[in-house]
Amino acid sequence: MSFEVVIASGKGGTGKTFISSNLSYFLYTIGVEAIAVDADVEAPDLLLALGGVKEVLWREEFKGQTIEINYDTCVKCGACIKACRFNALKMEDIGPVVDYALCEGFGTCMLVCPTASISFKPVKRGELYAAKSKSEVLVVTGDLDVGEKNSGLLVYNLKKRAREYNAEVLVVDAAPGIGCPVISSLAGANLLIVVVEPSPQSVKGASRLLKLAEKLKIESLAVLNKYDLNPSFAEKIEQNLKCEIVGEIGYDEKVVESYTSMTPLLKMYPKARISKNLVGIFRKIRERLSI
Amino acid sequence: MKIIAVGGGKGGTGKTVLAVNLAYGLAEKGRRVLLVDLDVDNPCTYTFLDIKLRMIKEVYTYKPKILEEKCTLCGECVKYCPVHALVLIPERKLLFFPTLCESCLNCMVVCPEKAILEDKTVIGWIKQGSMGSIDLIVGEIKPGERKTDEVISETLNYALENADSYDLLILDVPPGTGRGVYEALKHADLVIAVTEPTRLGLNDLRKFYKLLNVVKKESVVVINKYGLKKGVYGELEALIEKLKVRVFEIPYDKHLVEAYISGKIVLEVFPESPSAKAIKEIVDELAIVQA
Amino acid sequence: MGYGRGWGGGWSFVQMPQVPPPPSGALRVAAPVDINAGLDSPISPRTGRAPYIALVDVLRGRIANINVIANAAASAPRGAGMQLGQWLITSGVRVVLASLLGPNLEMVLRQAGVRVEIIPAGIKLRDALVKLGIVSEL
Repeated sequence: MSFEVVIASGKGGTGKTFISSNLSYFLYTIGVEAIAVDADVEAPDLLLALGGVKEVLWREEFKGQTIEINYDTCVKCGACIKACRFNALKMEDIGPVVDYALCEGFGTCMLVCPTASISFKPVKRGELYAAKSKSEVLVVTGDLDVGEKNSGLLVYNLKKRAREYNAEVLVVDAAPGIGCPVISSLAGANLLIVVVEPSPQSVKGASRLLKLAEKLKIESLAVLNKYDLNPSFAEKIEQNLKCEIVGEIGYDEKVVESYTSMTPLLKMYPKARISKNLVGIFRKIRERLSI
Repeated sequence: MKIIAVGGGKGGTGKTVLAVNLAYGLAEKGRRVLLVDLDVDNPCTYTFLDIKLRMIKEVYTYKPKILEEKCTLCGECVKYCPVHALVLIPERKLLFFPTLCESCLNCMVVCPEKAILEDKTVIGWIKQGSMGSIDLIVGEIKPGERKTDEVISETLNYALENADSYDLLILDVPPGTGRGVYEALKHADLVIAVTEPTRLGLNDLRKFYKLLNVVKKESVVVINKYGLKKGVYGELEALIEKLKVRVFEIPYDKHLVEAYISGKIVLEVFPESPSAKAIKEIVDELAIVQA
Repeated sequence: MGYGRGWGGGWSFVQMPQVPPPPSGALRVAAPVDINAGLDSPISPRTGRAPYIALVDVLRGRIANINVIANAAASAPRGAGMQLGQWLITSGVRVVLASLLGPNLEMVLRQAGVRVEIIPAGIKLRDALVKLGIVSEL
């Protein structure tokens, strides 16, 4: 059973992908079998951060279930439209028409159709695939088709596939926010790393996230990123955040550079001060992984 | 009345900062502005505007309420729950797990005893406030609830219903490219895609434009943090040229960072800074759009 | 009205076999196992998605029955834990031996009053039963 560590933040842009990519790479360098999971399915970046694709291992469609209507038997009674709680059906000349991005495929319409004119139909909502990245870390990632709902289900599927490898650790890069994909990322997690930056917006988001983790009984640790943007606020966070802070990282343009060259920072500049700091933090995190 | 959606796909590029400053700048020019905060997982607009919000309405969904006295433990509902949120202990009890419930209410439809009713459940709130000639509507999801897209939709619809007396609606769109973002863009007259000159920013901008191609809206790109060292300028330029859209650059200056960190509006506190001047250029453009 | 006309359970429903109830007075114990080796089956590290579920009926400290069933819930696209949980309850299971339970399955079993005993993965089913004192000798 893999030990699952989730990197989340509440607010976007605080450095989740930075931490996830470098943490997975760090674990790889110390011989821990870690798989990186990109749960930010609306804007996936983890594979890129780890160097881009070296080799795709498998790829499959993320299919959902929707419905289709047999207009030959449909009597346009409109019962389906009334029954659907998601407003996914609208009456048009041909009969009720489905909005495939709103339809959740629960089939309430089928249950009320007097002429049995509705049936289930599979529909593609995205894709999932696994690739060996150029930094050798294996990444399980997904891509939700634009405009789709249900990112949470895709995240669930990604984790399911990632768990099949029975690796020692899963490093899950969560989406911004605290909604469905984040909750799905947190389900079954053993440890949460909250990435905070010294701004009131970030602390707000982090607090909302920590409340969620508390409800789900997940152990949480915080990393303070870009702390030198506002050192005095950073101090306040240390005192007020209801979470143990395992480290602070200052801003360094090497981070931007490492992204531009699509190489994890620890690989590109292993001797830089920020990298040594990062390794120190990761060693502390490593101790909290029961593997 | 014109609707401007400020989005971009990637978290942390500065959408909210820009949306708030645009609202401020346009209000300064005498326009009646409604700013709509659709970042329901972690709304932050009001922190910049120092507004006291009052709650206008609840956003709710329906979950089943089981009337135990009418329930005959037949187990029909269990067979029709697509997310398996109902479990029957034969001859003893029917268990319902609300955290799994997706509110389809199939159970209510199939119950032969009419022992299931729909129970209103709050999943978020819509709040309102004003500062000078900027009115603000904020959507907020209840932490732990998963239906971010639904709360976004409700907030957006409420804003649209109350939009008549305004010259401009500015939508602060959350990160991502899912259904909620899609709906916000769908209603816009103009979409501002906020990005940053980093590898991940570029990657997410590409996906954001996939969404824009679906909604077919006029757009401009705003490159925030322009000047950030070691970024991907060449590739970003190439992409924008391919997209054939106008581009604005907001320089990465310490005044913008300082204003952001202290929750202030850069147009107000540092009006002569390079970033403020760049934002004013965009304000001027939008003022023409509205006319 | 034709409920189920075509609903067919929807895509996420799996078919688990119907098993006869335990003999009168017997305690039905379930354990997820990785291969079907009867009482020598090793306890699986997973539960909801374990390949097999062993059902053991125990009467007066002795094994009355053992049935190792392929776990159809393992291949469910969603709701594996919930579906397995429902099946365990319907099948009269009162004790579950497992190394790790997913949060949903754990929630169902707890609310249904099914006793859960956590044991190490890999050990043989017979050893787990004896160690927990469910079975007196084998």
